Amino acid sequence: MSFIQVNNLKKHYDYYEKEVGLKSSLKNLFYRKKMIKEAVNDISFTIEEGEIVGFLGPNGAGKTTTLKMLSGILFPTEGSLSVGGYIPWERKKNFKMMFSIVMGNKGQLNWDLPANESLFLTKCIYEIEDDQYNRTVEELSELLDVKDLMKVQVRRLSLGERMKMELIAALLHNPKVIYLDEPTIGLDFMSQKKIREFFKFYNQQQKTTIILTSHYMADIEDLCSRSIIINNGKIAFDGELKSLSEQISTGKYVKLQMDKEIDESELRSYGNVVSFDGYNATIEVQKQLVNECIISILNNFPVVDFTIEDISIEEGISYFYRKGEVIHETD
Amino acid sequence: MKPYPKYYLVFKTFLKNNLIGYMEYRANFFMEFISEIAYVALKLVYIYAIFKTGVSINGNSSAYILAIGGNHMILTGIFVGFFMMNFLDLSYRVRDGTLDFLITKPISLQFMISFRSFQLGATIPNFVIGIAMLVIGIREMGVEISFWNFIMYLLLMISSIILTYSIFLIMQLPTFWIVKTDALTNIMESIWDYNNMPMNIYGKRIIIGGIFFIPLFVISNFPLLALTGQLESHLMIWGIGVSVPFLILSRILWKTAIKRYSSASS
Repeated sequence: MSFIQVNNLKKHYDYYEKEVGLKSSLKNLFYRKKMIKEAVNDISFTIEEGEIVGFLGPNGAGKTTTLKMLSGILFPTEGSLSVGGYIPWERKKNFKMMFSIVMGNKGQLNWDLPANESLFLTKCIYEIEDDQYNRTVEELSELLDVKDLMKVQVRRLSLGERMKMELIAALLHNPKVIYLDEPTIGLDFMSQKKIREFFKFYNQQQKTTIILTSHYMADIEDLCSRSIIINNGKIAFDGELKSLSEQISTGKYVKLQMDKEIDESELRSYGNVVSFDGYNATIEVQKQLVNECIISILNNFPVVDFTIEDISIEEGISYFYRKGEVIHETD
Repeated sequence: MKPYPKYYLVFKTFLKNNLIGYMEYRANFFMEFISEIAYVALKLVYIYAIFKTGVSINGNSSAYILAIGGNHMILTGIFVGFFMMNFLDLSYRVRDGTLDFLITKPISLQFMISFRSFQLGATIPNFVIGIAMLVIGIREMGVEISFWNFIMYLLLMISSIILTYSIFLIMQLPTFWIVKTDALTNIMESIWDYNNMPMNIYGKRIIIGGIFFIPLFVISNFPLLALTGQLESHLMIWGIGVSVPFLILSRILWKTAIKRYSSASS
């Protein structure tokens, strides 16, 4: 049995709409048309112990809702789910002792206190022995380079420093599984890199299972051997990112720069015109036709410069977001 | 076996962290203390006026009114200092989804919600002035306080605190369905102030309702009646015992309500 097992999970929310203006507010006081949002709609996957899996998807795709069900914060509408043999929404103490959740846009540290006071509270809640607590705080603060900041009031810390403190608080009890919901959101490049390196190291050392959601491709590419793309509450892709790019990129991008204005319709015969402004154009051309196309374009158009590029993983993913098509990687 | 139970340690840490947090903002700390003293002083003037004029309301001597005002103030100190902030926080936590983190902690969520914040700046003046009023009132009444009556007073005060906690927690639970509960909070505060007068100034129906249905009069009125030897023994048993079913009821309703939690947008 896999460490995390998710079967036909669904989560539906009730909501209602309101037109602009006071009149519709008055109307809404007495009658509201109930609507249902299918935040997560019949998803299934398994995750093995020690795996790092990335959840990708546009805003509102259902990533965070899935994480909240995995951590027992939310009850699902339908479906089954087990994490390390526990059903999360039963909220058993032993289950809570074995996982941690970090949300990039919500902190759990008290802003009015230095981080070490909040960490001590976490120690009491998780019943961590003094020795283990001192050792873990020492190790993690050293690794994350925040040892000198433990006594500083949390609200005085920078976003990156605060996130590092949040990570220490989340890892104090040595969880078996960590859910990271956009942990690098708003951080500068160096802080993002540092946090990524930390998790890579931490996973290798502790064999912790990590589920990560992020909008930054670098986070996913660097850390996750496997990615699950969620779109409109459904799984659109489950597999290696590399294999995703192979599956979607049967073509290449030919980027052209002209010295005279041309007409877009003249380029359509070569492939899909992705962008065009009269002088610059990007055409998606089938891989096997690239050479032929380039020769023909150079002969027929006033080209001053051109490049041939692979379709990036980001573009591949946005292709999935648009299309909502489901692909499961074949082994 | 650990030297201290976990819940005691967590409670102590909450209390310590609150004090540290308070003292980080020195100006606010002193201002809150002063504003609370001013508020209590205002209340005091009003009760003192009744006392000084020697008015008796519905057979209650002005000394008794002073004593009950004092007892009410002690309980207000406990309520405002220990529970109120937490109950008000609950609605905010449901609305902005910050309850998420607390749900994931391996400790009772009801405990975390109930005892996380303290408003000690409000407790101390209410408590000190309340005790002073109670002592002066009792002295003026000239009643002899027996040891037994004092024990009954303490038991009824504990029961009152449990009842206050249970009733006001139950009143905050609709937040899981209707999210915003400002109106309920206002009702809660108004009802609370009903208790700073002897209950027999109200009509018979209100008294019966306030003792047996929503036992608000058991809070603050019963302990003083017991202390001055005026509470009949069956009401004494009711006063001490009624807090238990209310505590159980609040627990059951809490468990039902928490299942409704739908978090908020990420």
